[in-house]
Amino acid sequence: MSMPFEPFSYIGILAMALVTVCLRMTGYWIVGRFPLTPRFRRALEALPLALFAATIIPLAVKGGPAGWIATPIVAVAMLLTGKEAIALLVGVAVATIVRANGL
Amino acid sequence: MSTNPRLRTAHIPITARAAREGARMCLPYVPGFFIMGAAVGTFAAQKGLTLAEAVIMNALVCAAAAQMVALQMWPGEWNWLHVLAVAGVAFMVNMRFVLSGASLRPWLAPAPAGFVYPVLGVLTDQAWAASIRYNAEGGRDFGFVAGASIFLWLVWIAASLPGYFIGALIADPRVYGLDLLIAFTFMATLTPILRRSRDYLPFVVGGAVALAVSLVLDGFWFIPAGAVAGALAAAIVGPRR
Repeated sequence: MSMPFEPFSYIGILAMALVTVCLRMTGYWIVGRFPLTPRFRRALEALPLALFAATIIPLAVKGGPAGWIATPIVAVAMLLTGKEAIALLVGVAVATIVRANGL
Repeated sequence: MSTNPRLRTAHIPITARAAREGARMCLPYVPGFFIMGAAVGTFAAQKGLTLAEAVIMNALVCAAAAQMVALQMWPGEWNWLHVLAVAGVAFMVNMRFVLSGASLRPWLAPAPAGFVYPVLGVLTDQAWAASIRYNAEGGRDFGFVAGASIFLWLVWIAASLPGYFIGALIADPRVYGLDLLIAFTFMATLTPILRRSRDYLPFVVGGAVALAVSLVLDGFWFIPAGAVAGALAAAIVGPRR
């Protein structure tokens, strides 16, 4: 597939990259501009758990039955085996089976 | 790994050994990266991107979800509004990185900025999650973050090649539950952290607020909304011990 050179396509990619790299750096930078009070520190220490939850729960709920069934199974597989690779494999397998059955 | 992560010291170690450990801890994510790479590659090929464009996009943007959403609206005929639109998608989908970066500051603050910022530039969800788990288990070495981030960045670039050519095999990522892959990855990383810390408040508040926002607002606002709410709840309620 040979396409004519499209400079705008590269400009679009560069714009996405610039925005994304800035986002990756600004949070870290901003936090450094403020004194780390005990309360602020507690918020930052809780942030990862809150960010995990804020991503997992809506995605799993909106993913339909595959999300509702497979996501808790990933947690169980992780508790039983302690291996992320196995937990991820089980999650994808369960989701594939649920979706293959038209749910 | 016996150091208390809450202990503040003037220096943190930066070793190659921790970098290797970071890369090794991210090995379980490699198959998922290649499968996501195939999904992204499919859209790239369908939208007429050249192989060079697809590789450069993976290398510079390095964010699967944002790339997928942007590629679904990738225009054939460009103008500046389209540039603004794809940059807007990158902003919306990747806002969470502001928070993941912020959460690393208390740990990484003593490390030289010249090391930290380049690594943050290629930080992925998985590298962040592995680093948070390492730190929760007492690890303090910045090398871990660098090793995990750079390793997964290289994997994502490599994933663009087979993805572009054989991506058509995965025409619909939903069939294999790939729309849920990030939820699975975070669930797998979170489980041992939560079991260890027994700190359920930010999880419950963050999840509930995010779910409520996701039902009301389109887009990805639910992630920053829930994350900030969960962190604020923990700050207001105060120490558990």
